[in-house]
Amino acid sequence: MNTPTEILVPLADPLAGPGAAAAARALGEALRGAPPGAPLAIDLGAVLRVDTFGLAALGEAVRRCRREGRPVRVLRAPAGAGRLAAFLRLDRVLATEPPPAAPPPPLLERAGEAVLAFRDYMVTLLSMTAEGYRHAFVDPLRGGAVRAEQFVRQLAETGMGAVPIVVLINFMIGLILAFQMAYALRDYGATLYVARFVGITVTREIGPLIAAILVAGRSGSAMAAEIGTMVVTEEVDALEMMALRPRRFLFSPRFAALAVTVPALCIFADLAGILGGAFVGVLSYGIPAPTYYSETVNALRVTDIGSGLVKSFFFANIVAVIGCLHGIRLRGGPDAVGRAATTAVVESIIGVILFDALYTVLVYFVF
Amino acid sequence: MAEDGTPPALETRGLTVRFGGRAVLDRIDIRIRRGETYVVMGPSGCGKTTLLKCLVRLLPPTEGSVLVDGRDVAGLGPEESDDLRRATGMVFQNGALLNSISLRENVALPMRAHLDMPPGVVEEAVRMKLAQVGLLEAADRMPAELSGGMRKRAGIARALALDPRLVFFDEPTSGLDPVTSDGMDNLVLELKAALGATMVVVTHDLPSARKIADRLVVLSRGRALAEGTWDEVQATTDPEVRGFLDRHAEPPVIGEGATPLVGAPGGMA
Repeated sequence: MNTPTEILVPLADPLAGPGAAAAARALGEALRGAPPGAPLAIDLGAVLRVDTFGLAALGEAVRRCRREGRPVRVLRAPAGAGRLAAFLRLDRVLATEPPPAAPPPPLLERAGEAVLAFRDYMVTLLSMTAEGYRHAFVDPLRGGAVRAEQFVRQLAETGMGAVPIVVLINFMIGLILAFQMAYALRDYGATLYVARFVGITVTREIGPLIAAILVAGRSGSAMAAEIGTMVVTEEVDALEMMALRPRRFLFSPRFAALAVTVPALCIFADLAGILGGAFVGVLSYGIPAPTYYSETVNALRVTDIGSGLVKSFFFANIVAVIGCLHGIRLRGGPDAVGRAATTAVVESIIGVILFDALYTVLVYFVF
Repeated sequence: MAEDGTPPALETRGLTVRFGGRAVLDRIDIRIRRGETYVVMGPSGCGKTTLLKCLVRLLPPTEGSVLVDGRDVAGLGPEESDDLRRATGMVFQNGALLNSISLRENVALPMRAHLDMPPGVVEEAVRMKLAQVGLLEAADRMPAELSGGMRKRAGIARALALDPRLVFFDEPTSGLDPVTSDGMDNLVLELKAALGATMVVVTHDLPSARKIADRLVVLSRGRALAEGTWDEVQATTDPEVRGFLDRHAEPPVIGEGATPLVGAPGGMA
């Protein structure tokens, strides 16, 4: 005989629930042991009850046989199985193959795409920053429309609300800095210099940086989530249809508000940091309070404080632009909102610190 | 109702729900027979959704009880409660798909969680469930990429994932065009024929109710005003029921009888 003998697999009742799993295993077993090309016959003579999973087990076996080019037939199927199969569109399901997973594009292609995407992203960020300056600082001078109540609300939300945490954190950091510097300076008998070091570090660097990072965490994420939710609920489309230019309507008040609040918070941060340092200098190292005060005042120049304030202004721009951009360009459903908020915080902190590094290097070598 | 002595598939006894002292459902007594399609109708704010939430145990009643197969669901232990949930499918108004995973994953989720099946069988079963609602080609799309009607159908595929014997639909045709809506009704009829499941459908769509209902109840301001087959309900002379069936707007209904969906105790939304 040329044709290989047919393999008969009888299935037990019920072809449902755990019985379906058993049937799938029995069919898999039979197919593994079968010689290539041998026809398969599945006997349902004993089966009374079939459910979706029983049919799925049959369907899987039939699909495998077809792939292997093996003839397959189902014997003595109960009437209920036929009805269920028709209801579950078994024919259509078996007629379509699951699409093969698309192969990932070559590494070089992906790298190239990433670079292009990054370039586009940077261009968007810069053009949005320019837009922010125009809307927030140029247009109002020309008598353009200002969204005053939104601006004030954002001032309160991003500024007033952040004062306690900025003060607390910077006081603590001033304290820590003073301890560490005193530790380093003790061997030289120079603990008095703590005042000078804390003053300069806090005003030039730590104050603006911590203020910006806290605002990124509090307000940058809130902006992305708030605007992103408005995108999901079609509020942004509604603004567009009312000719309200969502970018200007939502972005400008936030951009302008942060440009004011972050430098203002920076001043609070500076004061709190110096106070934290003084706390340690006076109480732990016995520096008289008036001496600490005059040391700090003598050490600090206007440019130290000014440099910090200028920096914090740019930090504010970075946080506002990144936060709003991730909200406005959000695509997808509600689950995207959380991701947008996270991305906004991470990116604005990276942006702030990158900018800080650039600024510091530039100032050191140029000025 | 139980002529043959078996308890009804689903029954409520004196079911009352109060939000802040006001009765949203007032002593509702209904019996739903095994294998029938039972439609709950009524104008917006009549308590339909609240009744549905009580029946599926998402909302505990203030008074009265809900019985499944003659057993009070309030007395079920956690294990029995989970068993009953697995045997129950709920089709939410807008699908309530999990947004972070694909359509295929949404339907596979209950199967993977509750059944010990080989992955190939689950894969095949998911494809069948999606084919059944006409979404086989959309299997790898994310919920956000689906239209409203597709999301509803996907919700049905997921609700039916475990071959439930009790299926609940919340407004299956709302927000659909007449043709899609009719397709949804056909699907409900087909489900009934193929699965023999007991189905409870909440709707205010009169043509849809007429097409699919074995029996129906009309609610208004928290009370069951008329119950029976379509013809029996049509024969009623109660002015409020007539007003709803004949689509007369009644000014006094607005406001006073509205269900407070927001800010109500019990976590309704």
